Amino acid sequence: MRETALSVHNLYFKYPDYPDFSSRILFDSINLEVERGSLSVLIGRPDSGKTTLSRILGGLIPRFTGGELRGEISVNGKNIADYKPYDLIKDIGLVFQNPEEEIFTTRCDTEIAFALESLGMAGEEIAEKVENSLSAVGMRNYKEKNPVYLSGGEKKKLLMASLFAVDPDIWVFDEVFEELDPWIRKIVLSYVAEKKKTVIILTSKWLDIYGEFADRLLILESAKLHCFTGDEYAGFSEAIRLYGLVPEKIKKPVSVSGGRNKNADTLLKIRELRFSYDNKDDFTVEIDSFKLVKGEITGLIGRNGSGKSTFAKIICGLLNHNNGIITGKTGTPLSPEYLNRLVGYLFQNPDFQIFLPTVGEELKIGLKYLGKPVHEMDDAVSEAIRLFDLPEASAPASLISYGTKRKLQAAIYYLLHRSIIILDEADSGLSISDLVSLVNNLYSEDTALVVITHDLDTITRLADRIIFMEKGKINRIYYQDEFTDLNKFRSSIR
Amino acid sequence: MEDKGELSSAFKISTITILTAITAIFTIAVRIPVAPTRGYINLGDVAIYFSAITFGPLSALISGGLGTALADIFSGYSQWAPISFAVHGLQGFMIGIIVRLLLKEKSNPVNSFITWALAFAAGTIIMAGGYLLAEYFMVGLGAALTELPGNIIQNAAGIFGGVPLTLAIKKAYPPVVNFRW
Amino acid sequence: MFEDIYYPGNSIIHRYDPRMKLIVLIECVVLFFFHIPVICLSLYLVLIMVVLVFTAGLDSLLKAIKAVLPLLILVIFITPLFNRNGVPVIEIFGRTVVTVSGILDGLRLAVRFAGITVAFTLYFKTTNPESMVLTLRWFGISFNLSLIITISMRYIPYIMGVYRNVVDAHKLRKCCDESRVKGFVYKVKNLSPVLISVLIHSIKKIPVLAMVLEKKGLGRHNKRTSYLELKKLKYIFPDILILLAITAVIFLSLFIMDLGINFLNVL
Repeated sequence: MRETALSVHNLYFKYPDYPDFSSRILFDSINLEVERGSLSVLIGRPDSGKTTLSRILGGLIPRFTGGELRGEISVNGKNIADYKPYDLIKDIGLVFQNPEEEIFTTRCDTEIAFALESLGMAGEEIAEKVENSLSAVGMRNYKEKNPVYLSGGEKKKLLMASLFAVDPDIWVFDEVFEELDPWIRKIVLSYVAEKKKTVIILTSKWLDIYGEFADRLLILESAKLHCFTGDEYAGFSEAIRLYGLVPEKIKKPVSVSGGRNKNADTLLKIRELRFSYDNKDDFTVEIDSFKLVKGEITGLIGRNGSGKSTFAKIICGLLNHNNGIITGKTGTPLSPEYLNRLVGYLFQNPDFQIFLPTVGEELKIGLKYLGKPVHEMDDAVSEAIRLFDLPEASAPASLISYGTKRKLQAAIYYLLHRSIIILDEADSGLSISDLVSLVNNLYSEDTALVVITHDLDTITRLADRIIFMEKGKINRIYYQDEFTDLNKFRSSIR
Repeated sequence: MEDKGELSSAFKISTITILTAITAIFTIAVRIPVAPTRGYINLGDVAIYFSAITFGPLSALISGGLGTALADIFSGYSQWAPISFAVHGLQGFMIGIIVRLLLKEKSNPVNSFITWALAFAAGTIIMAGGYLLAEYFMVGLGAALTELPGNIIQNAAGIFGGVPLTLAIKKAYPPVVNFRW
Repeated sequence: MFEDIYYPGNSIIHRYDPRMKLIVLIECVVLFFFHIPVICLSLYLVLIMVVLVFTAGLDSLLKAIKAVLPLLILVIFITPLFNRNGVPVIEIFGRTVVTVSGILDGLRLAVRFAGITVAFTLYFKTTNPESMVLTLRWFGISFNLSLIITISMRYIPYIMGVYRNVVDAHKLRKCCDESRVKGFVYKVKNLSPVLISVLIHSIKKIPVLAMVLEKKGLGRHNKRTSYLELKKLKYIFPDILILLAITAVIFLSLFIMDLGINFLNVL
């Protein structure tokens, strides 16, 4: 029997209630024992409370958020109620999901050094650790670089380097692991195995690589935690299916005019479009010919930095193309202001699109401008709330969960009747079944939907055609018959 | 926020830091070009009034001063940074003190009117007066006087923008009431 | 955003100790307040300008001057109206409007302000933000305040990005053609949802940042060490000597000028 590194006994947690907003019970009598040196994968839907759980383990919640916490948690044999988070940094280390929230200095080396300074390490020792941990993630030359200029992947590597430098006993990764380069994963894994570190990986999507090295699978579902070890099930994937985390069937809206249909009504046409940012000369988006038609679902895929979001922002008129033209059905050029009102764009981060105090006001504002009478407005709002499964109209929009905010964004554009709707990073913060119902709700025969995503499995089952972007250009357009075989499709875009 | 009364220093540092950045962004990003001396009317004062009313005098002292000073540095007017630091810091501090002393928990219209009027007066006297004095030495009385109306307008924008923003944020993001100390 | 503040380089000025450099900056500012002939002040101005061009490029100088040019012109033209003593230059209907001493006053103030501007620009262009914060630490500001400065510098570009995104998101919510509505009230009204959104987004980051700081060990009771440090004073002996030399040269030149002026007056 190996030693216990982390134990949770009878955990109950609920965020505070506010006027017009009551929080749900996030965890109810959760128990967990994690052995030293083991690797656990904790999987749960977006909004199931994974991030909260990890922060509770680090002693950060409810310390900084308020809320009601019951139960006993011990980390490395220490009851965390008796310690402050800063006393536990050698025991448990967390990497947050969003590196933007975690990086807080203006240089890579000072970012790593800060925790070591807190530990009171001598100057030379800190310098050595900074050097070594940066080298470990292949960023030796980044010491004096400002993290602002790093790519998303590099930011994650920097945070990984910070964790290497502090070297805690328990490592908790909040949705970071799957986005790391494979070789970094390998470095981390071999390191933790050698040093007998305890690892908990939190994720909302099951990836096959987890099966190879996880000692235990944890499923967080409806405030409960279910534990599976390798012996209980032939494979973890079976357990995942059991809890419905991978939807069996995806209901695709019946598209009237999608795919290769030449007679479909054109909504927007692009010719010879050229775009580059003022301050970045090495990045251009070049679209020679592109068309969006009514009633079609288009998937937009490509690596990070391939220009998907830039292209989307050009379509909705947020970025002004330097060259080429965007025309409507009749061939008249469309101004950016017109495009603003033609296209709805769901930002990856829904917080940017929340302006008003309550859910109801958010939904109503557009209708008000359209001059709808009051009773019609109220009807439309309650219909949207029902259709998109939103909280009541009086709930403060800023307090609802990330996934619900994305649904709210969609509901807003639904009520505005946008002809074109673009979902950026569609799967972020949404479970696959949520995403599918969102697409079904937004779809109509008069609308063109563009879904930007990394989730090939889902998009191949939803889209009429898939556009593969590479280095700012459309590399190839695939039609439905070309991606029915997922494996073949996967290998063709590699 | 912490259950045992006293807020941790990490929380205080975070609050002041974020308010500093907000003040700087309101100063840099939202600007209406008018007065020649510093070139524009900005909404930095809206952020200062907002910080002082919502988060109290000590936060506003540092965030007001540092935010505007950093805004000066970021937008290429570093020579004004020390003056902005002193003037806006004191401005935020005084507004915060007045609001804390005068505004009652259950305020009536008279009480709030007096509070806002005094806050505006104190803010304007310190900020517009401070700049007038500093500019008198740096660029002379003539140029300093041309700047005065713009500064008074900025304070007016500060109170007319800052108060509604405070109320709106309290409604839209209720936890904010726990963030003051 | 950062490119506009610091100009990376390896010049003597870049390598000069940031603490001593700050003292020199203060001396320069004080110098421009001395009541010496405008022509002499201009010489100092030109000297600093030349140093700026050689350490941080002509662009840095042009940008700094361009930013204050309207004010400089205003100072030159408006100041004479406030000093109408001495020899008249322009008279309207027998009343003195502009005098020689008024014009000299205007020029003096313009040169003073240009001098302060260029000196500050030189300091900021040649001192990286980290050493600047360390310098402030050395001169006695608390660790917490220095930390606030550092993290603010990271969060300003971040919240700038938030602001831009929110403005974009707001554009996409419009329902009717608003390009013709250009009223001031309308614009202000339109601004408030954007500001609210930026504020909420930023304020929500407060608890998260507090979490990050504590999980990096802020608040521990053991003594904090320091990774980046300024050199001990005994190792920057040459820099101190240079500071003394600069101070001496400034005093000496002022003294010589004073002598010269007296000499001219005697003649």
